[in-house]
Amino acid sequence: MDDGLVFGVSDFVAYVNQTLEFAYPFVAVRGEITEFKVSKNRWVFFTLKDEVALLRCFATVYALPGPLEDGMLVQISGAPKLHERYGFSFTAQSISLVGEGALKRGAELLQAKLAAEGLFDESRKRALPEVPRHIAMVTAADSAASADFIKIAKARWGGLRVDVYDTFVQGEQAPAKLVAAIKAVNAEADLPEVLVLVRGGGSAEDLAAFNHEEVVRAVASSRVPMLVAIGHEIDVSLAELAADLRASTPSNAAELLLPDKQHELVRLRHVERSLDDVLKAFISSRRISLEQYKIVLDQSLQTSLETAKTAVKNLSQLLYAFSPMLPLERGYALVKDNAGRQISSIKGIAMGDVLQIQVKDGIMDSEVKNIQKGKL
Amino acid sequence: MKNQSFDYAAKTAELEAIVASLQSSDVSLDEALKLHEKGQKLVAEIEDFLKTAEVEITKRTVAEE
Repeated sequence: MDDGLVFGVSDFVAYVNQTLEFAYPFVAVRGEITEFKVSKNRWVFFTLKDEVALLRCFATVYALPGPLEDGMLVQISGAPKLHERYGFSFTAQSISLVGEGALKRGAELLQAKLAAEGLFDESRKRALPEVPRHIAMVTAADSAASADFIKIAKARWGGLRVDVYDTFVQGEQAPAKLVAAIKAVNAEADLPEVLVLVRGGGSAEDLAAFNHEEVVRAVASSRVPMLVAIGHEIDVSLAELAADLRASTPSNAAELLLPDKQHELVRLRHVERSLDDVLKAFISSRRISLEQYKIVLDQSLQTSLETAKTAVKNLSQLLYAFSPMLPLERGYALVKDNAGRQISSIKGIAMGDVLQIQVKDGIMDSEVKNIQKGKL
Repeated sequence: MKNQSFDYAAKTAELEAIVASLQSSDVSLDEALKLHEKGQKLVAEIEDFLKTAEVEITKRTVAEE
């Protein structure tokens, strides 16, 4: 017998594994899923097949892009291993759907699963602030989509801080990176008011990350309200359904999020004009009151004047009636002594006194010749 | 960034409240004139903001796990 190398079983298994590790540390394999099952909501088992061969696979639920079923075409990335007891198996680190058929079916299954959990409910959606001042943007930083959003944002508004988080928006690494970016925004000390997730159009495979279960869950559970804009025409991705607001394109996202300063300037002009108009109206109404007050004042003054005039007229008539000159008009005489005092009695009058007699048309001096007492 | 602390929503609401006050005419003439002056000042502030405020972009990195 040839004295070649002889291994014990476990040694051989170990060496085979070393060789596998060396040769296939990390490979991608594509095939169709069969015998798919999930155990204890943690362990995933399936067999990947093509026309000729079968490959037994194992994964944890974290590798899944969403619910899977037999017949789906997938691509798995991971490494093969010869298990000590259970034979040859491929451990998949990540699994992604391949081809429009699988992608569409995967989205359907995931949508049903998450809708049942209420992730897409309208009642969960929060309103975005009218005038944001600080937002975060998760996107491929050098993409046209990102540039579009920024261009429209700058044209429309100002006084805005935008924190841009650069990430992968397609490919195998995209789901993990997107989730990490969303979590990073949510962990900021200075929390932004809105998180905008933006990418341009692409094929169903390009957009697969936005139908990945972990990404959709991250959008739904973001503390910061999310605006998701995936620029494509046909289907709506599940990330968009889970968002607080959805925009059809990155440009549309900027339009939905921000006011337009041109419109606001026009509005301001109107408000400025109403400010002036309202003040003018205010003063006008006060002036009218003043006019009315003046009229009332004039009228009451007139009345008072008339009353006064009448009073004066009455008084002067009264005064005239008591005038001592009236008897003179009637033919009586007024007698005064030489000191000018009126005489109405013989008392104090002596013979020879000079008395003045005033009649209506003049005055006469006279001398007392005779005094006779008694009423006539 | 100066214009980032400008609370546009609050300032426009304040301006609209002033116009509403003047329209209600529950104020004295003296108060009305003061309100009008305040309103004009707000108009100038808001206009300045709309014409000069800018968008500031900052690049952030996501820590590798």
